[in-house]
Amino acid sequence: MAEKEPLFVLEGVGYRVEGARILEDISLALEEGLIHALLGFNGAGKTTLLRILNLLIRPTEGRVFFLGQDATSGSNDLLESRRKMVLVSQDPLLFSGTVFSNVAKGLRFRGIGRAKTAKRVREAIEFVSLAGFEDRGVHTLSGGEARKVALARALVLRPRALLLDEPTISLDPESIKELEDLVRRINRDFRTTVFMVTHDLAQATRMAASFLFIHQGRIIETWRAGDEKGGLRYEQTRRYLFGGPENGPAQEGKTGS
Amino acid sequence: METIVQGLKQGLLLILSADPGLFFIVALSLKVSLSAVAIAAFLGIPFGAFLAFSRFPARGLLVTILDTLMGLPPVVVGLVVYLVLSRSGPLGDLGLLFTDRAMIIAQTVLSFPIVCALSLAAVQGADPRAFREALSLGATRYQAVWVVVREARLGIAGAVLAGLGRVVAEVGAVMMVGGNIAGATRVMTTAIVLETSMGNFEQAIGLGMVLIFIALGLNLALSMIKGGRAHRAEGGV
Ligand SMILES: Nc1ncnc2c1ncn2[C@@H]1O[C@H](COP(=O)(O)OP(=O)(O)OP(=O)(O)O)[C@@H](O)[C@H]1O
Ligand SMILES: [Mg+2]
Repeated sequence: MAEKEPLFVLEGVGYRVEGARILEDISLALEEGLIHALLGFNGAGKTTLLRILNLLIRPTEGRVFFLGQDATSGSNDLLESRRKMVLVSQDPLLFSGTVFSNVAKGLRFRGIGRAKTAKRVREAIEFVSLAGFEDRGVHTLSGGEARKVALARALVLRPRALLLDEPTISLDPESIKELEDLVRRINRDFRTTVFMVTHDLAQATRMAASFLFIHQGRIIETWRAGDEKGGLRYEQTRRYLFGGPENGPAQEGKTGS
Repeated sequence: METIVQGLKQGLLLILSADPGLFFIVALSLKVSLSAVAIAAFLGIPFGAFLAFSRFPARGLLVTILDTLMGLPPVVVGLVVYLVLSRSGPLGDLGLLFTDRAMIIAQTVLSFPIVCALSLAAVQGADPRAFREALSLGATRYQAVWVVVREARLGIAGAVLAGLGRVVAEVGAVMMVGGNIAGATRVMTTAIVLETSMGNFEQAIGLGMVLIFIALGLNLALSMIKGGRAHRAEGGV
């Protein structure tokens, strides 16, 4: 881990809104080229952490480095850094218009020419098996189709880091498998770093090489694939992973500390 | 009763025969009001969007002032524009008083607060995810704002139509700064006032009907916009 320069480094990152502590003292280094899975109970702070990595929100404490650059010191141009990654949110919003215009959006923002855009957009739409949907209005799509459009819209950008917030909810089993294969292929072929939130442990195990467990705003445990058996220090992690009498809704997850 | 029926008939006849006098008045009305609303939209939409996205100390006060100006009586606006444009006023040298330009200025002042405040509301009411999604997809701040404005376009179109509705039927301000000069600054509303006071009911009723048609058209357009929005909400992601 120490040989390569990590893609993201967080140092003592904390985030507070209106006095509420959402994240606290998070320090981590995310190795480039891996699939990382972020696990944790509802309300643990996973989405907030993704937004911090995506440089959409600034932490209220600590520092965030992306590719060795401090992204928390005010004068930095974050646009260039932001354009190297993309977040597919938990509850994506498609812009009014067609499937094509949605997938083309990020390329348009980057001022990429029409012909090239059209070609890459079509590829991306095919990637998520929605060929033929180009001219469909987004309000006519099913929930799963809409989610695939949100994925295509991110993949078309060929990001260096792909941040996925529960990317397979509302997808059918076959689409889940397709998406997993797709993400793995992108990771393998382009060395795209993937940082994904998922509550599907089987999925996390199938895909990820590195695991992080967040509890009440703190990353309390990290491990590599295969290390979890017996190696986990925290009762909350074990409860999340293996279940147990207390395993259940978020409030219970929150009380045990 | 006789007068009303007679007036309605004659008024309708005037419209159907495309009476040149009536036609000129309607055309001037539309020219003045559409120009005014176009200027108000050009200034008011960006300013409304700016207010929706910015946070500065005087912002709350500005929004309150806008809301107050929305309900400003046209005669007060007429008075202010009159004083500014009158020979001794700050812009007196331009010689604009009693011209159609003076009426456009007055109606711009009247419709700007409405267009601006309703655009602000439309942009603020847009889905907050739109801004984040755009930024995550690599938008500059400016591009992301534009995405949100685009998402709010139905509400903004409604704002512009509301602005038009306010000025096209307004009489106080155009009367004061335009002077109701026949063939120069006489518009529908001022003509109705004049013709009625002189007992020429056909002309007044004919113009009144045209105004009602315009109001009807505006409201139809507004309800179509609302219908479109409801439809989108139904099928939204
Ligand atoms: N703007 C905010 N104001 C107040 N509290 C907030 C705000 N944003 C997030 N929170 C709180 O911060 C906590 C973490 O939120 P976050 O969305 O990061 O959770 P999560 O781990 O993604 O949960 P889930 O698994 O349900 O998606 C939650 O308790 C949430 O209510
Ligand atoms: Mg979440």
